[in-house]
Amino acid sequence: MKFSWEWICEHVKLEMEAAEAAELLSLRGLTVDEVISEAGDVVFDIDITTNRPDAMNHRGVARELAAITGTRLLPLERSFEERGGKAADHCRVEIVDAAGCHRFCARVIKGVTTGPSPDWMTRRLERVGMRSIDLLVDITNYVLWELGHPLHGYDLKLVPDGKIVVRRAERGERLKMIDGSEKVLDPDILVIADASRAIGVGGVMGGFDTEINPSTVDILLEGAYFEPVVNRRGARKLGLSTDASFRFERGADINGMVGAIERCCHLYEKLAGGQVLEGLVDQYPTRHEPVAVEMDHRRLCSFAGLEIPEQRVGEIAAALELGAELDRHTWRFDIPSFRVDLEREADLFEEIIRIVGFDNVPPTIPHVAIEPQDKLKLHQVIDAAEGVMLAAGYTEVLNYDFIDPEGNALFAPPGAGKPIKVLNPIAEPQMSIMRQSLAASLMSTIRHNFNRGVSGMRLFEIARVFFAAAGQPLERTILGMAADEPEPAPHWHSPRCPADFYEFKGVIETIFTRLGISDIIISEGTEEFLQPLVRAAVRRGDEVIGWFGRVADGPQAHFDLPHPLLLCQLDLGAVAGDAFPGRSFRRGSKFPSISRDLSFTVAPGTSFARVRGAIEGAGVDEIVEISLIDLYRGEATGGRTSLTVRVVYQSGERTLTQEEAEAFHGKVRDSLMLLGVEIR
Amino acid sequence: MNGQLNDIRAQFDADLRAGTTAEALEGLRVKYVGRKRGLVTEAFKHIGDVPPEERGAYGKACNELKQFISDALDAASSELDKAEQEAAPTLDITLPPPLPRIGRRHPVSDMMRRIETIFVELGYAIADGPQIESDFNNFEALNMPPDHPARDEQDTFYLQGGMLLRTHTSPVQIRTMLQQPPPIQIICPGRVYRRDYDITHTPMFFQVEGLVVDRGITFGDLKGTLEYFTHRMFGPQTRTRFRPSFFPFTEPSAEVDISCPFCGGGGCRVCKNSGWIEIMGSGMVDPAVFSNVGIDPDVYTGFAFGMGIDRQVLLLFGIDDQRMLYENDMRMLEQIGGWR
Repeated sequence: MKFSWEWICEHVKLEMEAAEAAELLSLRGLTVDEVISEAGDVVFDIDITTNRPDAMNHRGVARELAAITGTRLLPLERSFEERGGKAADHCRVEIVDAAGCHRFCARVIKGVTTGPSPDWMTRRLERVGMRSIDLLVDITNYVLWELGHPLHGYDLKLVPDGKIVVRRAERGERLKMIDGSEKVLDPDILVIADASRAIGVGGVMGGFDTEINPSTVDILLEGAYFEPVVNRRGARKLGLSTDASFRFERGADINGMVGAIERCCHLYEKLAGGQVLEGLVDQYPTRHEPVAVEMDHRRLCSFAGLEIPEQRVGEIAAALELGAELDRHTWRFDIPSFRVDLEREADLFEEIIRIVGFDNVPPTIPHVAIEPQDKLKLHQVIDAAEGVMLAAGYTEVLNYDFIDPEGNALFAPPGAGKPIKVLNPIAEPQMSIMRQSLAASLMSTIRHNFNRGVSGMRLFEIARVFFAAAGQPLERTILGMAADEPEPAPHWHSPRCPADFYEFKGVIETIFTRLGISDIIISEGTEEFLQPLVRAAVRRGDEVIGWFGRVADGPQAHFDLPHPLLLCQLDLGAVAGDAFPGRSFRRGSKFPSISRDLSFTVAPGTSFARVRGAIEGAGVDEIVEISLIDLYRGEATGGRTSLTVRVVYQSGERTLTQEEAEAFHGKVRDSLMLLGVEIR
Repeated sequence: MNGQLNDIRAQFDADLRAGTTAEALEGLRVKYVGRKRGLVTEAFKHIGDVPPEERGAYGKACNELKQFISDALDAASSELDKAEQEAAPTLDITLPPPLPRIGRRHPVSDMMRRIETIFVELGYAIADGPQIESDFNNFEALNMPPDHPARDEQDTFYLQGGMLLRTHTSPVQIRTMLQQPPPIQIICPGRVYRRDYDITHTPMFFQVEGLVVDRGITFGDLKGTLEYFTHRMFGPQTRTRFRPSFFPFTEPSAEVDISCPFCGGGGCRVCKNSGWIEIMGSGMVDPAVFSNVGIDPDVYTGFAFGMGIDRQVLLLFGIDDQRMLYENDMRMLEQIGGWR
């Protein structure tokens, strides 16, 4: 909101430059975002928070500066001569909706002449971003920016009998606004009406037909108080936000409007040759009682963490125009009607501390005696999984949780149900639902990078996926992994291998090793978005907690990717409860080990798990390691698979002899024979 | 007889000058000091031909000659090794090595981890809650009833079923206060959502909020804690400024500015010549919020703060478009992603 320094200085005498005043305002109450020099004046752009409607005008800002610097506001000229008859004879006000309009005041000014506004007025309006229209309209705008109260002028002769009714609109009632738009009204909207029709939306915008115009001679001037919620709902419904509604919905000054009307009358008389009729027409059905707030001085000091002398509080109260009385330790403050934000002790704490200055409160660190507690289990699991992913060379990405329904549907888990729809998405359909899988987002990330010439990516994301449920929707914390599989990248020393199915399997096993979860089974996968021959499920007992494999052709084509992709998802939340069981150390044997290799072929379809099982089942306790050191499948072995397995034997009690090792190896060989292997 | 030894010596000198290969040197060793027919070995054998009174001197001369030849051959041989080594191809230490493959953390979550660590070291617990929230937890409990103008500043995504996407992580504070009695000392990091999409806004972004509730918590405690944080985060030379502001859930409320880390406060493009950069909002918990969660505001006080992570990342790395953070461009992540 823009303010003219020259205009502010008309309301308060300050011994300082504009820049200094801006700094003080920022530190004590109102943040000045920008200070702009403009043709001999300085314009402040002030960010006025929603709780301070009293400061949304020049006199309000001046009052703030007066309070900060310990001075008082200068008086404002509001005088005029009342003559030419009684206003009440020309204007009658009836408030039907006293809940929506607490007070309505009016005055009548006759015989005005319009014309261009004086230069000083035009200039000041321009400084705050208003365009000069003509003198009669400019005066009400000028008073709005000076005193903050929105006023509205009607051409009296266009309001039959000067009769004003404040009521809710009829359903379907129509009104042409001063901006020329035509609105259809309903009972949520409070209107100002004449005897037969709406002539304005209260506190939002006047109507076209009765507005002040170049041929206006007599003015009916309105000042009113509209209830903030009613005002806000009406304005929203009409899709309007005006200088008036902006202030009313934050809370207007129910008593200040009278002075604003007087200031306006003063200007009409002085500048437009108007004659102000006798008396203020004042309907005030919903009275605002004076507000008084008590504050305990000792509580103030302990709350602030600063000893504030009683005398200083008294000075600050006076500067803020609060009536203040101290009884033992309790202050009683009378709150002026323009300070709608001061209702409770805490509000007064704020007022006192900010004027004392936040910068004058000494910094301290609290000692909070909380029970020490472990990090949440799920967070520990996330940390561990992330650690493995980073160490394995995968880069973390962060994607939006919104996704398009089509991409989501490709990877939605079985039984996911309908995705949760965003009612007001930022982009339809691309970001219109909450994702049920991380897969589509990861595919998009790979495509984005691929389009920019990057390939051979290894990515991961840890995020939540969302499922509708009765009541609170379900959020599951998922680890997603993705890698594209281009050719190995050549390098003189050692070419870079692309990620493949087995790399994923290794990373997944490592994560569970890290989590201390040993009962993971990797079995045949069923996910349709993965290629049937290159997919696997990650299970614990009957529960499927993840999947991985190569993306099927359909989804790959959907994302327009030229080479295959690997994807994986693990439900970290599902295993978090069992992660990190206690561990104990087992000392390694101090006796030497003996290793023996065995080469053999197995029939097609014999899994390595069975081979391993046969070795483990050979009845040799001294086996400490089984590794697969060679694998060949091809014509040379007649379609059978050729394996070379290295078995390491070691005893914890003595050094094994070659003969013993040979005997163990014989048992292993015998056990494998039962599986139908052919020793080579 | 000594003349004979001198001849051998002269002959050896000539041979040594001629022979420069390892084989030639080995040949000379055999020829002169070989056990079987080495010339010096043979000369020893003639000691019987020497008159007895000269035998001592002759033997000594023979030994000296043998020693001289052996030393000369050793020296020539090591000379030769050195030359050979110098001529051999050496290790080119400028060759490009294979680089270890190390994953990078996304700069936003890396920044979030840094912030978490600072508060965890101070004894804060990390609290968590749903990203899909109720209007009550996100707004009403925080003293923002329907029709409150402050709701305008947090344009909200609404979901089917009357829920919404949390616009801040404050609902986690509400949930924590509803679940556990004070003292409370938590931070709430996580994803939040607002309906905005332009160069400085993305519809999803990250926040860390904090909450401390206990008897006797003061505004000075708020200041001290956040000053400690800014010193840890931006360096001990950082100055901190608290500006009065307004949030419906705190009273008083303060925006926290730090002296611009780029110009030190002198004014530059980043801080728009103000010397200050706003990094977070904070305040003393509003008594109405305490009442909403069943904590007695006459007994307990507390402070809360909240900061956007994304803006700090943009600031730190000089990125001018927030939307880039969620494009996950590998070239960006490899440049500014976090190492673990």
